[in-house]
Amino acid sequence: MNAQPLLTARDLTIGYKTGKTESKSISTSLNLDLWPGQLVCLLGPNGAGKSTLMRTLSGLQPALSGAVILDGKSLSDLKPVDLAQKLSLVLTERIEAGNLTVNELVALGRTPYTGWLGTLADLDKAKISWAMEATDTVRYAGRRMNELSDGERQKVMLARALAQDTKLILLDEPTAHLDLPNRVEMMRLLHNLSRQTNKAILLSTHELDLALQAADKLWLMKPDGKMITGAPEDLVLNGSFEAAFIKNGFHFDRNTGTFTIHKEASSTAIHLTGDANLVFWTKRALQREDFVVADNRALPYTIEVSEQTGIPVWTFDSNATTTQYSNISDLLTALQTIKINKI
Amino acid sequence: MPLFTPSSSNSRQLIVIGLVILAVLFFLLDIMLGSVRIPFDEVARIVFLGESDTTAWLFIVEKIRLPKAITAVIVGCGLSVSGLQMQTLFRNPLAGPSELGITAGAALGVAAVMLTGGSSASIYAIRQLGISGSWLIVVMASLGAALVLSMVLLIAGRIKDNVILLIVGVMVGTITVSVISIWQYFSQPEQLQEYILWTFGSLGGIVQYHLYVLSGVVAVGLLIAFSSSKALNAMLLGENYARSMGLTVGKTRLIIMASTSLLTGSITAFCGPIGFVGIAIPHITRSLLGTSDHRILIPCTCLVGTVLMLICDIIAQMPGSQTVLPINVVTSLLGAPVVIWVIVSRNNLRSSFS
Repeated sequence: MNAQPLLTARDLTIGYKTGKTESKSISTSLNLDLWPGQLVCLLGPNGAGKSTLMRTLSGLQPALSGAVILDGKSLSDLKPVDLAQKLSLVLTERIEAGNLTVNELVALGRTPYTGWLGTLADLDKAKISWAMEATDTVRYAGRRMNELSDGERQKVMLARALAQDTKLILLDEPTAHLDLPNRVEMMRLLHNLSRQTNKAILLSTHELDLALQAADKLWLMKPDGKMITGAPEDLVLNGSFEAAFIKNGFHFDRNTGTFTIHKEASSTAIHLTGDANLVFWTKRALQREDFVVADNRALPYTIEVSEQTGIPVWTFDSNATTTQYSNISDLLTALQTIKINKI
Repeated sequence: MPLFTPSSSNSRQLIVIGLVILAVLFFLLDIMLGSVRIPFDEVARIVFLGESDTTAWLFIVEKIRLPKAITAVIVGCGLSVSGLQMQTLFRNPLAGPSELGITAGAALGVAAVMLTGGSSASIYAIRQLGISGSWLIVVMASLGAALVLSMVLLIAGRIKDNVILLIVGVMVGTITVSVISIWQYFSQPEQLQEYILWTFGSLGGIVQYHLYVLSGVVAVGLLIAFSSSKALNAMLLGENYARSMGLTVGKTRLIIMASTSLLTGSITAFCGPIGFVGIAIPHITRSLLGTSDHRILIPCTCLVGTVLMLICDIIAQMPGSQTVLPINVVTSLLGAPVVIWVIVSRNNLRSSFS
């Protein structure tokens, strides 16, 4: 690929100036690289400093120390207009210009390139229509922003950033106000864009499972301000991913890549076997009811799920008595008796 | 919903043509109507050809009514464009020169000239002074306006909430008015009378070089406003987006502030504090044209401002009678309901500011 990273941060300290001399640093000695064609997700618990890092990298806020090099030039040396031709933003804040049509709003992305009155040349128009096609927003080109749903609005804001024609796009929690299908759609779109256009895309998000699936690289911010970077799979396997979000009351399942909200393993263990799909959902139900699913045939409780002539059947084995159930709900009701007996 | 259904560019052209026709029509009507009635065709003849059989009519039109109608046009354009700029700058539908105390700031500048300069510096005396006197009052009023505007802007940087900002603006305005009141309290009765007459607002009596000074300053202010329309468009998305699109927000703020102060300051200096034009007309224009593009909005705001200010002046003259109402009263009577409409109809707010 390319020999040079698009964005480099060396020994970067981010934080806020609280007075003339003193400042509050949130994260120190950050060394980051962002390559063209990569989709990077910045993850971290609330308050770890994700927004501060995004603001610093986008030039909205000065770094306390260290250097940020964007496309071969220091970020602090770039003039606003030059910076705007290298870096575009999508922010969390709701824009308050409902009277603008989608077309007009995307056209605003050409601001760094147009003359004093903002008249669009043919190249500008071509970029605008490309940006709208890439984000699938052409069909509401003539509509006003206040007539759009949150998901549509966010896609329009992305189209605006694309029209700005920059090598780097930063998105601050672009999926924050969206429902699940729109979140997936947004991530899919960003993933495809980074591949097709060779742009570097950095987004901060709370969507852990989506980030694991779509990101080429994860930047993990731990609550203490330390940063771990790497491919998502590596971070999961070496336990860094889990460590960054560690909290009581839930744990990270490396097999499924999801966080489960079940309690710690202090309760009854059950052995579960059967068809993979049925086992997956049965396991979820059992975990909700505080059972631990263990791979041990010697356990006193065993559940076997199998499909008999197209209908799933749960066979529950408990102290040599065997009962069959036709759905999970009945199974759970029966399992309540084990819990009570145990107490 | 906006006041009218959103219009395509085609019907937008029709609206603009209609506004131009209305502006010309009301301009002539404004000259025609008054205590002495002059026939419409005579008015058109005097205005466009500069000749008439009746010398009295020629005198009335050229020396009194034409300057007054031109002043009305200048005021309508200047105040409404400064209101439009402030609404975009503050991203607040309730921003306007009189609402945020900018007019009060200009009044402070005027009071400084009128009330400190001794009786010889009253507004009428200043009108006798000639060109330097009118410059003095314009400079002072613009400085006063800029002072209040920068104070409000300073506080606005910390406060994002629309309502709180408005309250701050009203409070700063109140402080300014109080300072003026203290000044008035220690002033001579004759000076006071002049000042109070000035506060009623008047479009008349601005002739010759005063009119040149006023129109020159307002033209500069409008040019600055129009040339910053690209920046104003970017500001629609908020400061962070504007900055990410290559705008130097600090510089843009300064330019917009300079334009607003010049427009409000000069107009207030000559015509008194005219209320509600600045806040009402941008709203009417936006819903009329259904756009937020300042390249279209600024010229069209001028047109709507011209038409409405001429209507206000016609009403102020109370056609068919000898009495003349202060212009400030008329604009407030027409403008205040618009402000109420803006606040009550939340949808109207939402379309432009959400």
